[in-house]
Amino acid sequence: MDDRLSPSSLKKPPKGEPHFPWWVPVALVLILSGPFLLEPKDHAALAHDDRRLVILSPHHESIRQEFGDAFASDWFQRTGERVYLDWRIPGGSSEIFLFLKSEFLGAFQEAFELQHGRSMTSEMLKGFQDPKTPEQPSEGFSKDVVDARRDFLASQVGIGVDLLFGGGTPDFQQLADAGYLVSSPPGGLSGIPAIEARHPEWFRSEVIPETLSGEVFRDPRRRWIGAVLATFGILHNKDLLKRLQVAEPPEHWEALGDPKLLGQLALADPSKSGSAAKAFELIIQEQIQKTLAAAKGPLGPEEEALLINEGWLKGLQLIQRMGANARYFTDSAAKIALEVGRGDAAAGMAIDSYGRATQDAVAKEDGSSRVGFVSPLGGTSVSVDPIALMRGSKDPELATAFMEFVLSMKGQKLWAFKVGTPEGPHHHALRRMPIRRDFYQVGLNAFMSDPSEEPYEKAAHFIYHPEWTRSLFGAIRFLIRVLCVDTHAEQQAAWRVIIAHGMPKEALLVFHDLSGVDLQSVHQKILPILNGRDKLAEVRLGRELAETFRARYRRAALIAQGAGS
Amino acid sequence: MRAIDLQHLSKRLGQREVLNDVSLTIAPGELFFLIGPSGCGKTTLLRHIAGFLVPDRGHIFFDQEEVTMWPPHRRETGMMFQNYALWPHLNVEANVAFGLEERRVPAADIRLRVEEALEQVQLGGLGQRRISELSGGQQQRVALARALVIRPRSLLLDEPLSNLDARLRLEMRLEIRRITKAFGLTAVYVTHDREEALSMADRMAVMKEGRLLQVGSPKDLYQHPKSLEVAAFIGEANCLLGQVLGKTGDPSIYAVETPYGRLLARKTQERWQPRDGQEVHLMLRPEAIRAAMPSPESNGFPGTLVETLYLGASVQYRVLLKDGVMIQWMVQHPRGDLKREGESLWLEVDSRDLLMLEE
Amino acid sequence: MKPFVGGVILIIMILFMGFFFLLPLSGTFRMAFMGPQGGWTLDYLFEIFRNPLYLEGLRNAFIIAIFSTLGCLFLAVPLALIFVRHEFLGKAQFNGLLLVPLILPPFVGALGIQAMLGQAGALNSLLIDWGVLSKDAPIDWLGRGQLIGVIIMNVLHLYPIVYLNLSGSLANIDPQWDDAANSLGCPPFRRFWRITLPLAMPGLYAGCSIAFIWAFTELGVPLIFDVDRVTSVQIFSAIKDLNNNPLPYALVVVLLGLTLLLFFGSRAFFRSDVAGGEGKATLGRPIIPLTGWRGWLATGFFAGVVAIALLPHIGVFLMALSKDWYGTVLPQQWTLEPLERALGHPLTLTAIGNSLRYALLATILDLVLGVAVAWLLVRTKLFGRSLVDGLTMMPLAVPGIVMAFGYLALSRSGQPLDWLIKGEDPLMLLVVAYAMRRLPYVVRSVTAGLQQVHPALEEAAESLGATPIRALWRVTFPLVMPAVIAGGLLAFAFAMLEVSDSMILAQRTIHFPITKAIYTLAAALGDGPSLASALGLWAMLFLTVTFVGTGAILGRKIGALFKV
Repeated sequence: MDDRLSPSSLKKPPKGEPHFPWWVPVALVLILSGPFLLEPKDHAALAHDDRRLVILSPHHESIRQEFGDAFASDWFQRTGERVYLDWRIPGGSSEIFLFLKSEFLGAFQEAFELQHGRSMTSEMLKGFQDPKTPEQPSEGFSKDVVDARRDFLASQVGIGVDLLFGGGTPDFQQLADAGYLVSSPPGGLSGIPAIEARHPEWFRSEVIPETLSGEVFRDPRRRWIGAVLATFGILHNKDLLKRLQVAEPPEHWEALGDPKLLGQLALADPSKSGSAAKAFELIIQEQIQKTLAAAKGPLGPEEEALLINEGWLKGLQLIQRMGANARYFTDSAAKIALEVGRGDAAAGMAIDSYGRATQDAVAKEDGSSRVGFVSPLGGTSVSVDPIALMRGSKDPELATAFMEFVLSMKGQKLWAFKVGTPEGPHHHALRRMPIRRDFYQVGLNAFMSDPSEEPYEKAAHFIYHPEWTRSLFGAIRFLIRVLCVDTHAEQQAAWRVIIAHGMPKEALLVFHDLSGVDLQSVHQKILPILNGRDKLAEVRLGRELAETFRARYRRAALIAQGAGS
Repeated sequence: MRAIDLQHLSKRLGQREVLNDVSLTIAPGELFFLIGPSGCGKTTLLRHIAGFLVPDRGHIFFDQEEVTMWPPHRRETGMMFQNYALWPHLNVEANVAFGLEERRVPAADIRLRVEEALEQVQLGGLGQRRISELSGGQQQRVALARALVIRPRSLLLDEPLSNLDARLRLEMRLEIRRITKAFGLTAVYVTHDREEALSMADRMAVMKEGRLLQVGSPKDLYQHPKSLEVAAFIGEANCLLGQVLGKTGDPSIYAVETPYGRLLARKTQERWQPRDGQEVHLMLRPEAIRAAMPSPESNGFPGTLVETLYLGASVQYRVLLKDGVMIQWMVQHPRGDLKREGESLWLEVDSRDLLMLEE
Repeated sequence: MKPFVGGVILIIMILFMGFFFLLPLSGTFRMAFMGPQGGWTLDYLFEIFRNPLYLEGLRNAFIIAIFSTLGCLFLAVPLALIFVRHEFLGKAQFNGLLLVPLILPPFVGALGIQAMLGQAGALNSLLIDWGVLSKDAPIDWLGRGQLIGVIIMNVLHLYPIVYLNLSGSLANIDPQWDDAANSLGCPPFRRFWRITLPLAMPGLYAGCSIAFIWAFTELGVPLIFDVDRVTSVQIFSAIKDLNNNPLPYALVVVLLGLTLLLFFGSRAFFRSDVAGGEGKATLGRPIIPLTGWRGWLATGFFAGVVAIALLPHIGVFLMALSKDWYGTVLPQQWTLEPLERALGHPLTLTAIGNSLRYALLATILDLVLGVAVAWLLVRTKLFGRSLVDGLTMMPLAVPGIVMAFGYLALSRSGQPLDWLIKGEDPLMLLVVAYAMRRLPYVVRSVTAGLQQVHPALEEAAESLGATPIRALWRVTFPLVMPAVIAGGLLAFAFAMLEVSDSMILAQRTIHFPITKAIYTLAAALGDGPSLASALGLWAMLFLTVTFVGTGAILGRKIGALFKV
């Protein structure tokens, strides 16, 4: 019995017998060279740069490309210098926030320890960028912390970034208050004050007002300024709506609560998407406005407060229905546009730029599109998408020049013009509304992608009242999470049952039971916890509230079932 | 030609004492065998000599030089493994040339010596073959050629033939012995096959549980085993119990009282002085027994034939004795009729062939 | 000598893992147990176990992992069984084709799946065309029961690993063991349960454990499918959460604890021995050809699996070559524009160069360390080597994003690892991060290969005068080379397709690797998914050529290489 003991997995030819497949390296070279061969020649090249500008931005691709190219060629024409724009893209607004926080933490800590020769306590680390830190030592704020904050605000500590370009106004406000954004660093005039000195006419309300309809367009302390307008609207897919037998495309927020849209709405989680949070806030504001408008006669402060609360609750209830209609909650606003375009959702909330871009992208040759976008009249404020100078910028002069470019007519045209028009974009139409009011008066409609848009007229229909919900922005995110996101399964299940049984009133009452989250409770019980330092308490609160609402939804479902068919 | 001297080697692996104070001297040119049941430590001892293990206590000398701590690659010992350990990624020639390449022998010389080595094991011309294309016997010979070509001072063999069929095994035994003697190699050979050891060894050692039981020539061990264990390992051994009665005229012959009567037996260990009345074992080989007529002078005992096994060249009988003990009896070249089962017999043995053992 | 070298390796590995694995983790742990006033607290952990959301997340993670593994088994077991024992039409081709999922990053594949399974996607369009579905009632495959999409994607991505390990194990089973059972009266199905399966357990266990843990902790696929009630996504989102939640750190601790428990617990249960395996002899195995309807069934089964596994690739392919694919089975408008734009994009060129650099360097680092560790584990009996074994496997259990954040925190100036980012270039950091996460694959692969090499082969070399190093070089190394190459290839491929570290640690566009470039392009409005698919298609092609080419160079089929 012969025993062959060579392992079967090795049948290699003995030494000296190679057969080399030559197609392998050839194929590899071909594949690798593809991108090199296709590389276009005219972008702001990395190779020969005289000066560098580092810009942190959540703006997508097309905006960065167009503005990068335009600014670089403009600067070259004026000065003969080449610039290289170094874009930093950590992601959306939340990533940017995190990024700035941790970067500044590290940078300031190092600078502090270098200067004072001792390390910072954790209290100081938390407090130096906290706007609540006062200027004098007081309850809960030691001298160390106060000093640290003062040092920081006076310092030129930087993270190697020159500009922050794009995001929401609340974010910019927060960042500016933290101390990351500056108006004009010491050593010569730069930043927004420099622009103002050169172009004082831009800072009049006919061009760039300080506020409009309740929304802030530029920081009174000159730390940030709006670069372009932003509105919100409803994106819808016509084919899907037809299938669902929804006759009219949704033109108001309330239409999104239509039971016919069950499971077909694309929504974003407001705790992950700043723009989604803003949109929800607008919905609530609209409901409050409507409630107040419906009241007859003059209102005393108590009555007003009652009505505001009523509007608040109505807004939340509409949001409940929307949540129940949602397919699921995505983590970014861009996904909403993609889903509606793709036919996976019938409708969704979107910023105007996303909405119009999607409409374009799926348009047929004749210009018609299966996607439509509507900005609800009186349902959305007109706000801005700002730009700001960062603390510690290495080249404030160049940074200021960029900001200036963006605010100049050239820059503003770039936002709105069609591709190929003079001073318009080269590759993509950005389809956004310029912030400068004077832009709309000079008859440039022929060149605009959306000539019929008149945002400043629209603004008149909606006045944003910061005193109603500004301080509650975080609370709104929190509440929507416990009302809809964390409880989605039960919420949608209950909604489904309620619809199937013909919307019985008792069930709806329980479904919409919002006791515990009226305005007073929010201010007194919820807000302190959200603003406090104990995150654990916050999580516990979230859990308890979610439990409460889950129970209500379940009960609503039971009642609906029992109420007959 | 090298003398191998092992002194008081002890080794513990985990909880077990795998070698317990083993001392051994192997003469130059000797073909020395280590046998014993599995787990007795024979392979462990071999690996100590090879250098793959280092003893906890004790010393190893090659020709007066202490090599206990030397790594394997310095010891100039060729080794043959149980499953040959031929490298599958090299062909026959490359396998054999390996050791020479390690010694930086010039390429031309390598070629010559490899061819020569293959000739010596009758594998001339097969240098280009892949290992997987060879038969078991051929592989084994390649392993041998590989170990020999480097002209080692000693050769270690770890059960090299256990994976071959019977015929090949017999052939290879002769080959190995012939080659080691022709090269004058000191060889240490581990096996569990006693025939192999008996037929090939100059001297051999029986091991059990890490100890040496007995060392000697095959004849010594077979005919003068120190203990029943050794005896039973070396060949078939029948065992009777008895008590010492006393000496006889011949200093090595004793009278022993057994259940079958008074028997005369030979003491094999000189230094042992059995007391009267002491319990002893009497060992006799099956081939040492003959049938006889019962008589008082006869050194024998009665029994009943229980089983007959005819093997052609011999016949093996099993005989039941008075107290239930079963005896194996072998007759070479049986003439006449075979004994029949149930027959009553008187079995006789020469007193020199009945060995008295202490244990 | 051996113990010394082993000791050195032990110490180096402990330092390496300590520095680059434990240290970043420790930051995370600190946050998980640090109370608001700075004290030590278990509150966060308790909260996790009280919170139905997180419990549901854990439950879903388990469900995904279990069903993904079961799905892989469902595919891999019959595939492996048929493949090892039988000959049928197309067997040689299928061997390579089955491995096709390895060449596509799962989150890109998810884009392809979305295109196929969306409400207006290809599958629905096909069903409508066939009249099975009415135009007004298409099925929302991905909307309801989102876990299904994740599980499908996981299975399609992971089954090759289970298949390869299992078939390797099966091939090593001596057919005589099966014959013996047969002759003792054991019918085929029971033979399978009593003989074949237990003996194939090492390979089965290896493949399943990788699949399970991967599916348990995977982030990219659930993100694309918007499944947010699963632990990995909860961690990711909570970190993104604008309110700076400390819970993700505690969640990470829980996830890590569970994974370790699973890993070591199942190891003990299956008694998977690491050190000292004897090389298995494989006697001539009779390969039974399948004829007639059996043959067609086998071929059909393999073809079916390959076809399903190719669905994401087909989706990506079609998306890359079309403009707007909506409501039709195949795209109506074919164009090379996405390919041109994606490949000519300024982002792409640097991304490709970056990915190659990071992945190659990381693979080299992995090979050096992995071979050393495998040698330590298989060839020595050094005390402490099971510690190293566990440590090197742990990166498998830790979600990439956790490590990524740990690295980010520790590489700030002034922090312990700041020398890793010299001049803002994350090259070293990414190489270390990639290497750390792929090390387990190399270690497993080389360990398995080394176990197949009988120690006697080295000893023979030593007895012939080779020093231990020379013996390693001349004997062991050539024999484990296939395993080393396989491990290296796996490491390289996964490094090129790496998601979490790339997403978080590469901040500047000129440092982006391919995956982040794809992700960035995907977010572009309008035809973003097409662009991302185009770049994904390129990556697919590159990896295919790499794999097939390496297999060709080594003169064997790809399949034999990938036994981890």
